[in-house]
Amino acid sequence: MQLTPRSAGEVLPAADPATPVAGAPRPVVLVVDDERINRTLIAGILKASFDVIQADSGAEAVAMATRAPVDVVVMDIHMPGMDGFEATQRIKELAGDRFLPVIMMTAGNDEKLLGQGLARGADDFLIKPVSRVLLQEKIRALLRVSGVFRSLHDQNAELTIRRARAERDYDVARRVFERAARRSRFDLPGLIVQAMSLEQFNGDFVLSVVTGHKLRLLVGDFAGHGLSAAVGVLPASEVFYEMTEANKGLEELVRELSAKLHRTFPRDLFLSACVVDIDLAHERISIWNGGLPDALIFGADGLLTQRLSSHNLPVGILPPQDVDTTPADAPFPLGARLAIFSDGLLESRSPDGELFGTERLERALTGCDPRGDWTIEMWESHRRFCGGMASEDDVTFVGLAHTSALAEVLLASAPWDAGAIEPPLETSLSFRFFPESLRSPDPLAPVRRFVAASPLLAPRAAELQTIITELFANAVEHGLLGLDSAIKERTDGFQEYYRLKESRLLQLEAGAVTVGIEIRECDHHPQVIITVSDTGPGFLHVEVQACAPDAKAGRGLLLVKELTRELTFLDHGRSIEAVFELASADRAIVSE
Amino acid sequence: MKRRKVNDLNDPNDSNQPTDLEADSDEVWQTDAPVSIGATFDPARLLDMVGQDGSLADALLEMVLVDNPVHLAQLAAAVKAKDAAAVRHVAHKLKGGLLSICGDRASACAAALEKAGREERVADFAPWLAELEQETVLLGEAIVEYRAAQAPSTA
Repeated sequence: MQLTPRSAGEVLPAADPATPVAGAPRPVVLVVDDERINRTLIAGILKASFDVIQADSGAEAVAMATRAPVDVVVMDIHMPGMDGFEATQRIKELAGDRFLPVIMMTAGNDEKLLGQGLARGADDFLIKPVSRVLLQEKIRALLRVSGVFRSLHDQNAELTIRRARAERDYDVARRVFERAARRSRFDLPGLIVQAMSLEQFNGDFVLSVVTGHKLRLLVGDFAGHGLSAAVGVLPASEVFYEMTEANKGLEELVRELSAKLHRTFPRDLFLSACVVDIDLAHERISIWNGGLPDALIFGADGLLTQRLSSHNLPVGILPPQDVDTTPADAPFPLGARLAIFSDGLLESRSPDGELFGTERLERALTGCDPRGDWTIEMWESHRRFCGGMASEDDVTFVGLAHTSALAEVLLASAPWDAGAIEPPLETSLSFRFFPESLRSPDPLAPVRRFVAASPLLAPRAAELQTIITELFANAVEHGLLGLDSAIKERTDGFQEYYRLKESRLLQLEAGAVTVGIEIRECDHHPQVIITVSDTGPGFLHVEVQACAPDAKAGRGLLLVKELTRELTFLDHGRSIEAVFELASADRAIVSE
Repeated sequence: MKRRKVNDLNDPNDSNQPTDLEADSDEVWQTDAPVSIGATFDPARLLDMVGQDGSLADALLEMVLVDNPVHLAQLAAAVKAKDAAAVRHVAHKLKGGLLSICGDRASACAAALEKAGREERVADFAPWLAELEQETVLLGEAIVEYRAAQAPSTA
């Protein structure tokens, strides 16, 4: 049951009856009192300015409020049956998010009683015998508040609709982009791609193709960020794939890219980009840098050996004939590492406004072991430096280590034929999310892109994304933020839960969630092992296994159980490992 | 029972006045009531309350004249049956109606009877009912007198 709202097209009642809106209905006041003399007195006082309806009991008041549009309720406290407190509470509950003011009347100036009334939902009170002037003015004041509230409510509703439309548009754009990125290879050993997006859609992008025993990378950063920056990704990626497929060299690729963007886009939408060919057979790389920060090469000894600076304007500013497309060459021996990043990383700021800068970045990347995730120290340093400050731009980092595993994959690859390239089994990739990236609107976007871009994983992307999303939410909400699912079982529990989540996420200063994706073969069947770990204190998962299917909490993990072959809780709930069969198979659940 | 006159009800030196902060509104009403205890009927205040709307005032007074005998009969039955809850309820209702037409003394009697009902002081029921009946008769006479005085101007 709900209160009768005013219809959407109805003219609002005049907040100030002294200046009524032409054609607007007069505000309706519901007077509730079991004594007809009191009702008649109040109705008589109000009739000149308001339409008055009367109820002689709390129950009748609740019923009337559900039948007719009511703008203000004047409620007696002491009534037989349902008293004024209970009636007020019910009317307020039925009003939901609509502001329906209630003025409570009492025969004495008892603070405790008045406080009780306000606590049960009353908005104001009057002492009997009522003052005519006070009663009228209090109603007018509450109608003004109600008008503001209704206006805000309407604006919120409109914003919600617009936001839903925008999200739908973003979703369409994301799918288109993911389709384009699907032709890329990110599941290569030694390749690390990290991205933090300021908005739901990112103007930074990474493309990666294995062709003819080489790896070709494009790291791009369109001017600005958000959807407007991201519209350039599609044509740029099309040029990248087409030119690479046609065995064109870096110079031709850059020239065609320049031509396309210069021809297609306005001058203020340009692309800072690094395009790199990695030839591990000859242990060399060729790189063209237009507008991105210096790409860095670290030697096998861990020391910085070369900075590959940009000597060109970003792509799209100059016509193709004016662009110097000559790439730089550099040695890239076994054990060497390449780091390419967007300016968002260097321009991250500390709470004091200091820039993260090249020096800190180089220091953090020096001396790392190329065999593991050698970016961990750099990200931790970045996180500490930023101290919770939100990034002002999209941040993208691409790292590539020359490992024997990568060399094997590249040397085994055929000439360009993305569809025919089987991704290697027994590979793994991990994404680490620190508080700042956890607070971003879509922290899992890079994981989703990776899944969508992998020919092996893409056909099962929907299920994989569901599993990853649920486990990630589990780790963030329960593991890091310590939220209790039982909150959702309460009245308005969902709202409370998500309010708490938002607040704790904002206050989160330390900790991380790691999403690991490992592809392996088991009994000639490809499997994906998804491991989601958090650095929180651990939490019980027993409730998850016992949770009823209709409960409001734990349903996400029940769904994951359904989708996976094995779901294993480790380290007191700090880590969950899900085994997903890329070919369908029986499922089981295993506990620690 | 310590018998009190209506005029004593707002005497701050009276140790029988309710002072318990836990008391509900009706107890406080007796000590902090914003009305001047003593007026049998205050037509000027009534007219002010209804914005000088003579016809509304007249309608309220008519209701009091019609409803009071009914309420008093209900009260008498409740007092006879020693039904404290019924005494409290009807006295409360009567009190509010009388307050609305500025019948302060009768309203104060009804408040005292309501309090006795709430505290289940059965022995106090009959004396306070008698007092209320007496004040109601006086109120009725004052109303009739007032309406008679108003009749030529409203005719």
